[in-house]
Amino acid sequence: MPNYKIINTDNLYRRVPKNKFYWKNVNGKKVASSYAFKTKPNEDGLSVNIKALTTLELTVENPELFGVAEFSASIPLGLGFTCRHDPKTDNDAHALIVGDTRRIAKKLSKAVIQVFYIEL
Amino acid sequence: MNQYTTAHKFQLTFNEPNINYITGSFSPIFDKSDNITNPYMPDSSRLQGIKYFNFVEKISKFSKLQANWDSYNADPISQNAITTALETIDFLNNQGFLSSGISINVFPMRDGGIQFEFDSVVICAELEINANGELTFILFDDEGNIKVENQLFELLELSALLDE
Repeated sequence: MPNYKIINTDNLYRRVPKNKFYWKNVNGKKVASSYAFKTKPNEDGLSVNIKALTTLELTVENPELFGVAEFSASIPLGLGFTCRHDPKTDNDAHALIVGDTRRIAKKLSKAVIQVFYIEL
Repeated sequence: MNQYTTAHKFQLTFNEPNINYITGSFSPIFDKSDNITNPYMPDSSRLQGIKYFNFVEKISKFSKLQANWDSYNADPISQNAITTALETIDFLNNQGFLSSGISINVFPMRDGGIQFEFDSVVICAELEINANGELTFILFDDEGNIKVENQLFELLELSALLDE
């Protein structure tokens, strides 16, 4: 049962493939592309993990293949999106940014605070 | 498929230097003043050529992505999207955009499409190619808000939008 209310002070994690294929270089730093934050047409929302309920190790699953981008829940919440705790049997920290995030994907990518398991 | 033929002819091996594979930006070379007299400094047309072939190689490799390549159930990249992306990079190369000062990046999309990203001091934009090969151009403001979103019916329209 969902029992965690996501608020502005929460941070969210999103896995991003680690290969340099998937990052762009801006002023010498690797920056996540907006593609990583766009839902597919048939999805209910964008899958993320709630930082307060998980660890980086659990979120990344496979650090050989993936990195983790961290951003504030205040960004989607401030844009009018619902962020809903959506626990899975194998991932209690799972949540959804509900709806089509294509139109805010650029803002989410710009809002990334930190990336982990990625060589900057 | 001219671009495939040319790509194979000039394709870099994995042992060759692959400058700025992702951004295709070569500004660091020109930023170093000691390079002004460097007799080995490649000329801009050769750099543009290397950049072009790196893009072709990268886009072609998208065909190898399998379902769930992002761990969030992403779709494989469609052949339509790859074909259109190769046509797009060919167009951008022919129009001189690969050496225009706009940083161009290309990424696979989770729905089986491909997106180009254009960044410079005056433009922040994306070109989405969906799995059917259809084009959508999106222009952003500095904060990442969408200013303009247009479906494109031919690549010439892209040239006009990037020149604005």
